[in-house]
Amino acid sequence: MTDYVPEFFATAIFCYILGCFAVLIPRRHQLFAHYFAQIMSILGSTIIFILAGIYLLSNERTLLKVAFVGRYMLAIDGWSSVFLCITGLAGILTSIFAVDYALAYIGKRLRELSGLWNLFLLSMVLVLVSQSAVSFLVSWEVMAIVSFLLVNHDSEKRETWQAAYQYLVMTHIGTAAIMIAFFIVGSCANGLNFIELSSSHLTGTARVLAFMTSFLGFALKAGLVPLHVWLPNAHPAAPSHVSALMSGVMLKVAVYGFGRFIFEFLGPLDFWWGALVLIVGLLSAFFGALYAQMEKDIKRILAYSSVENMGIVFAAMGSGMLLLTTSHKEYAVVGFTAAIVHSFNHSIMKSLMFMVAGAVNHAVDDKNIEKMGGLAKLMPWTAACALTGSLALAALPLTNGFIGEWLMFHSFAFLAHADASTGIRLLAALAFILSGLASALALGCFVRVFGVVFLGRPRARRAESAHEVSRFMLFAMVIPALLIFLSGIWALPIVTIAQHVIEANISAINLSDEGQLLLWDNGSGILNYDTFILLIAAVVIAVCAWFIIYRGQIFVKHDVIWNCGTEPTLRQQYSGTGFSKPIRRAFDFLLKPRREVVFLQKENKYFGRSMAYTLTIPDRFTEKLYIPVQHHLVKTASFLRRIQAGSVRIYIGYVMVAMVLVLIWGAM
Amino acid sequence: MNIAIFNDFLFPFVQMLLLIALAPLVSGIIKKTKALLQNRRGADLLQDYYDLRKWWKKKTIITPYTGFVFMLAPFMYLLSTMLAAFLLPNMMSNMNFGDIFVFVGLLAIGRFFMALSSFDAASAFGGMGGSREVYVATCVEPVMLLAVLTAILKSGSTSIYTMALNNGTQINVAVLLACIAFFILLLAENGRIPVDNPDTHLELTMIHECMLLEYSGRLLAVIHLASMIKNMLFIVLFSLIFLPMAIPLAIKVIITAMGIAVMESLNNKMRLFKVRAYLLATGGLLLLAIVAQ
Amino acid sequence: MEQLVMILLFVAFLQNRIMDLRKAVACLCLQSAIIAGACLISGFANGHGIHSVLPGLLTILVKVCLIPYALFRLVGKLTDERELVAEINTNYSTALSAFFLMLSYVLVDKMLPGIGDRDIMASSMGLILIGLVLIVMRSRAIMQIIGLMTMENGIYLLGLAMTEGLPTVIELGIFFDVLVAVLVLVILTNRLNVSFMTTDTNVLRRLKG
Repeated sequence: MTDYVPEFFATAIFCYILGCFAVLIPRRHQLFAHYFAQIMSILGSTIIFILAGIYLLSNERTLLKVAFVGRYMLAIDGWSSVFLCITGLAGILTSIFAVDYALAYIGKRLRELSGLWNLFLLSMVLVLVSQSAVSFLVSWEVMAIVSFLLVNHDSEKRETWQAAYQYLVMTHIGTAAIMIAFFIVGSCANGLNFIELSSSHLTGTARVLAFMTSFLGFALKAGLVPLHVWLPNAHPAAPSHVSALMSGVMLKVAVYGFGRFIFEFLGPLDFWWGALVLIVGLLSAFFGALYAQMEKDIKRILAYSSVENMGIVFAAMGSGMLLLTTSHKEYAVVGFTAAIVHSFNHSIMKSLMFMVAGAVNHAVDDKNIEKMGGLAKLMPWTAACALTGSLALAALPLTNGFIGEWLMFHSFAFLAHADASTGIRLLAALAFILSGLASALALGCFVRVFGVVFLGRPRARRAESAHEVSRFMLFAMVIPALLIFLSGIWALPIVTIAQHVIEANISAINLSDEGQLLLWDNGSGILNYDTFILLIAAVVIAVCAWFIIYRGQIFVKHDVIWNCGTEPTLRQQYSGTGFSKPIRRAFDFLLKPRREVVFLQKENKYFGRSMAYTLTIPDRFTEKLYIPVQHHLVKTASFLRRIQAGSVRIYIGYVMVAMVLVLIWGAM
Repeated sequence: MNIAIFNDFLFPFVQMLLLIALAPLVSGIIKKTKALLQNRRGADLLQDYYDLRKWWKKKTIITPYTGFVFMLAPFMYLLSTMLAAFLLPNMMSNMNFGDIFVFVGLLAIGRFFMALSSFDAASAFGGMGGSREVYVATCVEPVMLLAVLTAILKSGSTSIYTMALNNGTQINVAVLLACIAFFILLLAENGRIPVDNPDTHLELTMIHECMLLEYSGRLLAVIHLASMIKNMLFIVLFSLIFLPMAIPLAIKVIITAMGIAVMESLNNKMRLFKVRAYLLATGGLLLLAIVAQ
Repeated sequence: MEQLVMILLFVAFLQNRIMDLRKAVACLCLQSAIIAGACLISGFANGHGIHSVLPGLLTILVKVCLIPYALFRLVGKLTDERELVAEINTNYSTALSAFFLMLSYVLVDKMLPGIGDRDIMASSMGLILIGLVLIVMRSRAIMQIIGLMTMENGIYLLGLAMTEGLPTVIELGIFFDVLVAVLVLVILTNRLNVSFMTTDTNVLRRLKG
């Protein structure tokens, strides 16, 4: 089977390229162009997913060459096959969703949307299979530009192009940092292929600089705090299926890149590197979950939730890196496995939730959750999928979101064990605190989102007339919902595969004697979470309890609820902002919300004034970090602008002075 | 099928049913002790069983607004607590697969569904209860994880069984601090004074009761049973892992229940936003315990 | 040859002090004629046949006849621009030209000590720098063209001094380059005049971004 891999890979690439050509189909056939492009992307993604799956299941550890483009080799190895799997799966799901969802964009550059969609997937696949710094960077740049174009699709609206330009600037800063990192590593190596870069000998400041720049670049792309400010702006601006793909796959490609650097290029890791990655990941998890509770735009909530989950992934990687520097190197496997498994799971969960957001947006035509409510009656299937997604993102057992977090907790526990020094213990304690806060906040966040959007009574007229979405979109949502439960229950194969990948990658670990059974050794009690037993017990108990509880006629329908004896009005229903009020108050030293109360006219001579109340939560990262930097940059630029005097003679004068100086210097 | 596996699977079930059956009794002990401390005779020890039976017989009122979540949530709550009971270590079989993180996660399922159901009735009280519950969860969960970390460090593993085995009787600073801290967490998680008042239905004082305000009849019975089981689970966990005494489990449970009653009688419910500081202090105690080990 | 170079330097310094446009173009014409003469002399000295005289004849054709003719025609259109900005400019530019000439002598002595045609090399480098000074210091477009031409003359002289005569193709290339450059500049100056009614480049200061 592996003999045909290059042919299949070429077929997949060809499918994508054909899909890109949908742009050229004339405008009156734009529907056909759209369907054609989406089918091509589904085909291409399926092939990629199958290829990556075959590679992973075949347990190979070697590089599998798939293509040669000029001088540059494209190949799959263990680490990239995981992410190819993620790309393929998310590509399939979101492309199926986009078949019907993007029909809302007929007449608004639909062909470009579908064509660029294929190019986006193609560029991400190319990033993952590049084996040279040059091809990596070129594909990375194509990915960045195409995602900018996709985000900027509704470019007539002001907030769309503002968000898109912010994203463009920030992603280029990240790309610049990655380029610098590659070139620093490459300057101490023989060439710029990954194989040659792996054997580079970096020392001293060059190593530190390479790590810092690579971490900066990849953290920016993955959306870690404080470099995350583009995420909550870019995701609502983009069409929903684009946000799903960006959040589900593009952020993971950053994890892929960072993993390459850590495992291959940077050599033995320092202690503070792992600590830095861990702390940044934890802070991202905490702040992401916190800000997610405060937002009222459903896509911003999901974007902050992506920040949180990426924080979890990086925190797991950080703890793995830390464990590599201690004396128990084999425990590091747990940390890295947690990172991969959570990436995979998160791509499924987040794609599902963004698709749900798209469906809700489509039905209600508004992104504000305060205007929704009671959608579970009108869109039952969507609500069921959303419930599954919320369960998974809140990291509850028997769903796949739990597994990544569970493994991460275990890696923190190993961290506390591995070294008896107080410093690492306190670091592990800090990790537990912040990740506990993050998971509790995430739970609250998804209770809030699901509750406000789907439960209760409709809060606005538009929500009353919502309708269920079409079958394609439902199909695209039901598959990830099923996958969530399947990969939550059948978790052992996935974790084992991830573990094999990690063990192949980290040369510092010598496999223990029992080899692969480190994780699931029930007897020694290291890690045990047997999902099947839990599932069987759950099913048995559930069946018994269901019959006991729901037997007979137990329901009586009345018109009103108790509500403490009062007549319930629509305004008494809790809003999302109200729901998160205690959390907002608990963390107001971090959030610093601004309240503004304006008293309007008096209605009555003696009492009763109407007032307007505005609550804004400023994005403190933007205010405290980005705006001062921008301000200083603009001031410096204005100062340097005086060189540009406007007079041609002065410019030639500059040339003359320079020439004279060079001549004088040459004479000496 | 091997008879041993059958035994291994059956005994946890039996233990779980035993726990479920005894949960209202423990709740009754707490109430009786509180009543005796307040110089009353109090209700019967088995009063909770009678209450459950009373609710079970009545019908549940639902409104046109409530959806499937309203009806599903009590069931999921009960299911999650029963599954968590399933995970507790077993004296009679070898099937000890309880991981403490899974335990905490399963209880989170219950909390998720209860907080969701509070939205479903579209009432003001539901949302209030749900938001406060989520707030208390945010305060409690990191501290709970720290307590778990303490137990992990002491026993070297995350399995509840191993932790229970390693619960020795030596009393040093770390053990004492962990014990006190987990006791406070027990109070917070189960909605006891000083975090929440389980006896009243006043708007100002309720968190857990607020979420259930719209439930009645059989579903209310299910929810109350589930919260009693959760209470029981925490008490059992506390006695197994954190209480450094070498007496049989049943007596430890009774002592803990009475201790809860004493704590409830001696304190008053604190303001909602002081809970954060309270649990922060508990977290500090636990950090000290971690460092001191 | 050295005398020719001395006269050339004198003419260059004279150029610095001329304000009137017609006189400046005439001065340029004179300068180019001297260069052509130097070229002819070097052609006679180094080779025989038509292709040794060809560069000199071409120089006469292009730089002495065609370009000054174009410039004169252009000046004819600019009827009301006679005077330059201030007289301070001329003093400064003369001083600067002298400084640059001295600098070029110092450079030539440092870099190529003991060389035979030290004068020619130094004066050609000086001519280049004087051309730059003219461009920087003068604000009328015509004067800047004249400065450019002076630079070209200097470069040509430098090439002449260093080699025994460049290949014909290169010479033709240089001439075409110069011709086209000047034509373009003349057209642009015309446009400048039409658009802004003046060729004072100081008004272009407003056009920055």
